[in-house]
Amino acid sequence: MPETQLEILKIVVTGAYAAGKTQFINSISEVEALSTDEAATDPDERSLKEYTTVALDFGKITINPEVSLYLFGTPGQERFDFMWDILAVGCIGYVVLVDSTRPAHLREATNIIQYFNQILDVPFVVACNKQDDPTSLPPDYIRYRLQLPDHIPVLPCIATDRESVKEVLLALLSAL
Amino acid sequence: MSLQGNITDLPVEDLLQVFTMQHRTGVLFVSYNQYRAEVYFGKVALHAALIYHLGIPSQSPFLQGLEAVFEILSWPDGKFHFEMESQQWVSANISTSVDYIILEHYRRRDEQAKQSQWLNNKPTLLPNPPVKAQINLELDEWRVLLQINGMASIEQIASKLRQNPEILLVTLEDLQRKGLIELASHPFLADTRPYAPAWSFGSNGESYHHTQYDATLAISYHYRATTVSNGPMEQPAKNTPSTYSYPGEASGYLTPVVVPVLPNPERDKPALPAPSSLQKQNAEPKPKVRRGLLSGIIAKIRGL
Repeated sequence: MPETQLEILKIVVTGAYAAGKTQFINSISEVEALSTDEAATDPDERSLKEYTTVALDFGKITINPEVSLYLFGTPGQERFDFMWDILAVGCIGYVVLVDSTRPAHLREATNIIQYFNQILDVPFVVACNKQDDPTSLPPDYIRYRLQLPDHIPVLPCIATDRESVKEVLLALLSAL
Repeated sequence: MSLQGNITDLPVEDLLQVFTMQHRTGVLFVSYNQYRAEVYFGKVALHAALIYHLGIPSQSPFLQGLEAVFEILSWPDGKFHFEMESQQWVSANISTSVDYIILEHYRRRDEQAKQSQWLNNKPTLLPNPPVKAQINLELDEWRVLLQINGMASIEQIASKLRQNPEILLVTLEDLQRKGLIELASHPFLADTRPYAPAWSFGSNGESYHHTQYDATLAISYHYRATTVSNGPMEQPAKNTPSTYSYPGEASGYLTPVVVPVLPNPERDKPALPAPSSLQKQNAEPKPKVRRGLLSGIIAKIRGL
């Protein structure tokens, strides 16, 4: 019996520090997501969360015996941004997670979008995470602040909710 | 052959377009006050631009590349002459098309014009902030809020806080969205007033104080010094339990949640161009996903 070649499709999940990337992958991955979290060293960032991703997060969805969809989460701290180029190679699309409750981080999201837009020619969607928080900014306002054109999907998201994460991935896949 | 004149008669943007469209090779020299600019045209595109300050006895240019071109485009006056097939040449420092440069110049000019308008805007505190939600302000927002009195203009507040006005505007916009302030006659922002109520009666009551007198509303905010112990701002008065009252509303306490955000030059640098206007450089080739496979993936994810 001939050996089957496994086809791997890759989606990158990126965003500013503490945007919820690890949680996003955890919510949808069928395997226990591989995470490389370490204690945050920057006091400013530690006030937001105790552990941070230093290399990558990894999740997997098996489509069929021959095809798997891999989700890679980028590290949020700027000092690890050299990983972005590595993770971006061969990806079919990417999700930019934005913390809707922290407008001060929107500028960083703009920088990330600009960076990925320069190294990748693939579709992306913006997921406005933490929409279950009453102080969250609405996606329309986030679109305005990120100066995104209408054809780029900007979606509400709750990274802890699998259905919400599914909607984001489906929107990305529809854009392919 | 050379061509000379004044840029009030023949603007620099016209010169740039004419020389590139006609594939002229040469150098355009422009002088304005203490500055002398050199713009080099290759056969098909703009090649380089340099500006020297004549008052500085240095051989190195004062400005070069794209920024030099934008600077020259902003000069209101100046003399120029163009030398075709000039022997003088420098290494390239521009790889952008003239069309892009001119459009970007107009965009910057328009923004500058708008900025001079909104810098005079005097934000005011809203007399009837919404209630029954949480205030969730960051330290930067508190710093700005403390400066708002209906009399200080955005320019004055920016100067006092030593902040870039554009960054200040982002904070003001957030405060307006949260229903705390109003930016009167803002020329180019959509109305960002609350999508959701932003104020609430808290239960702890330790960190907010607000008084109303005469027709002017004065608000002072006090918050836990401990929460912002690393903060660079002058600490407001020590945390004092205080009450909140509006005519016709019950008194109560407000509990703002203060999240310290320390100055970060990298984070606070001026906004980059809008992603929508980005040109992809060195982009990886687009991986292809088979149509049939894509529908399989979508079906699988729907079924998860």
